Amino acid sequence: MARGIKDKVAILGMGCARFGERWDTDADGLMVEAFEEAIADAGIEVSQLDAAWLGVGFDAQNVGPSGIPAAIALRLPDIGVTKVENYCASGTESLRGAVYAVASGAADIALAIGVEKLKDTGYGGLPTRTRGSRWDMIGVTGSAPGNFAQLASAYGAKHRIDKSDLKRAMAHVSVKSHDNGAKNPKAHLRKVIDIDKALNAPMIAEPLGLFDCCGVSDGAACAIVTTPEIAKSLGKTDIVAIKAMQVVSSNGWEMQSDEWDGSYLHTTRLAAKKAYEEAGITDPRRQVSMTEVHDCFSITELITMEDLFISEEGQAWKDVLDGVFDADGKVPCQIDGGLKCFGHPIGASGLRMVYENYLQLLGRAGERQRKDAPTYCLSHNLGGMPSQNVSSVSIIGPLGT
Amino acid sequence: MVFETTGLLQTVNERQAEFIAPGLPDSNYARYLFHRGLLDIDKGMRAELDEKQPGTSLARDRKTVLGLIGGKCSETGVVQYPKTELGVSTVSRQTGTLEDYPFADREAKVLSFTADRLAYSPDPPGYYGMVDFDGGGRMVVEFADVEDGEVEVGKKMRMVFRIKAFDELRGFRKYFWKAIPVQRGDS
Repeated sequence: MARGIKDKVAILGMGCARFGERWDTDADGLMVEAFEEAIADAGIEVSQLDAAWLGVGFDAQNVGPSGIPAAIALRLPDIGVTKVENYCASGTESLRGAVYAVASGAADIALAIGVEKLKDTGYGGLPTRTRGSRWDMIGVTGSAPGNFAQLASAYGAKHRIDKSDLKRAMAHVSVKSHDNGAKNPKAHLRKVIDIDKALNAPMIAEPLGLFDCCGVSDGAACAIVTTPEIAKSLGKTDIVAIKAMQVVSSNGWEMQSDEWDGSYLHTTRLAAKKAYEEAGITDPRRQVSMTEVHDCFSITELITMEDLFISEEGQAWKDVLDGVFDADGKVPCQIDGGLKCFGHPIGASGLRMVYENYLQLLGRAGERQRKDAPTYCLSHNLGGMPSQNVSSVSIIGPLGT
Repeated sequence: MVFETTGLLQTVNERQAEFIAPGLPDSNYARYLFHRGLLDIDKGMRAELDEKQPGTSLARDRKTVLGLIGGKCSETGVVQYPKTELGVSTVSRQTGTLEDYPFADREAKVLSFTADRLAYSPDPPGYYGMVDFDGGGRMVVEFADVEDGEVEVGKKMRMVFRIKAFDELRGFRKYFWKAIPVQRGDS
């Protein structure tokens, strides 16, 4: 394996817009909201930025092509702005670009910003779109919940889990995230729900009901990264460093060979192994302090706990029901409310997750703050569908740990 | 354009007819009117996807789309759908080793599935999932002619040739294959 980027890059500042139905502003306004917080947190001038990456998932939604929209909205100082799209990992990809630029020495200070303005589309859920001319002839134009619901059927059948038990565990995932989101002033959905409400909600794509699905919202999030040395020279003392960033894309193995059984995320397992190796983690259940994972649907979060090797295979549904991932559990998951309560403005989500981990590491998470001094904080994205997707695993923690 | 049919139309054999013949009887008149285009209903935003079919790509992929022809690698023996330049088994990195391999006649088992009430379907909920073919190969495919609660992981399916979508803007009808329960298709 390559030498990796552990402790080569520090997070200088971060920002996150208030997510929600932001009829009051456009994508530019959301970017400015996240950026102003990040640049103030970083304590630098805009002129000190050397390069920038913009993550957007849906090209035409209020943003348009290229990195120019971010350069204009933020009045960036005549630097290169690269736009990246990699399904739901687009926000994480923008951070990866900035981190790699700093790690390589090509930039001293780099910006990553992700944004999405989904509510103007009028859709409940993500808009329907083409996946290319061949797919449109031979594939299925299903919905995102329909694609991910299939995980539940294959996972349940493989591990012989009673359908009502699995449904109850999925409901617990969502109830827990609503408990957390209610405490977060930047979350979109801030009401607690109970198990019965989740279990009895209208069916969207069997077995996923309404509360098994994450929200859809407008939002933006932002990170400014530099070297640990520059961070220190700027007076930073509690330095949060990048420990690992790994992305794995399906190469058709799941969809076209007969070897994948449909019950797990192959790419997440690969990305997790690589990220743990890069970060030096050997016992994830013990060493990972908390996770922000891609809970596009409750079943995705549940199975991701196994794919990150935090739960044993076939046992995550029991861990969920035992409260292992609750805010006061052993390995809290979505302590900020997750996609469930923030919604999923695609380009912003990956950075929003890192933002919560960053706040937790610095003790700035307010009512949500874990008291046990977190060390390794993990974020995870999953884009596409279980049979063909991109997955990212990122880990941050205090410099030198 | 005016097309002239020839005697070849009369040569459709029994096997080919089996790909088209199965269906479920439906006594609902509103659905009948809708499927005949005689009832103007609000299909929702998810029906607004542009179904434009580039004729060139359909011509290029005609075996894949209309014949449900995949590939079998002459180097590794691995069967897959669709056929690709580089086979899915990376044991071989040689290009162009896949030979035509038909799937339409093969039965398949359901690996995963859902009943989607969000995506647009003219016959909601939209059933679809991944199926594994006997003898190898798999695909994600729409299911047709299924009743609520009928599909389970492991259920045996077979393929039929159906309408996939309409390009209403340009008046083009797209065809592809769907999976139906084996018992239903054989009854």
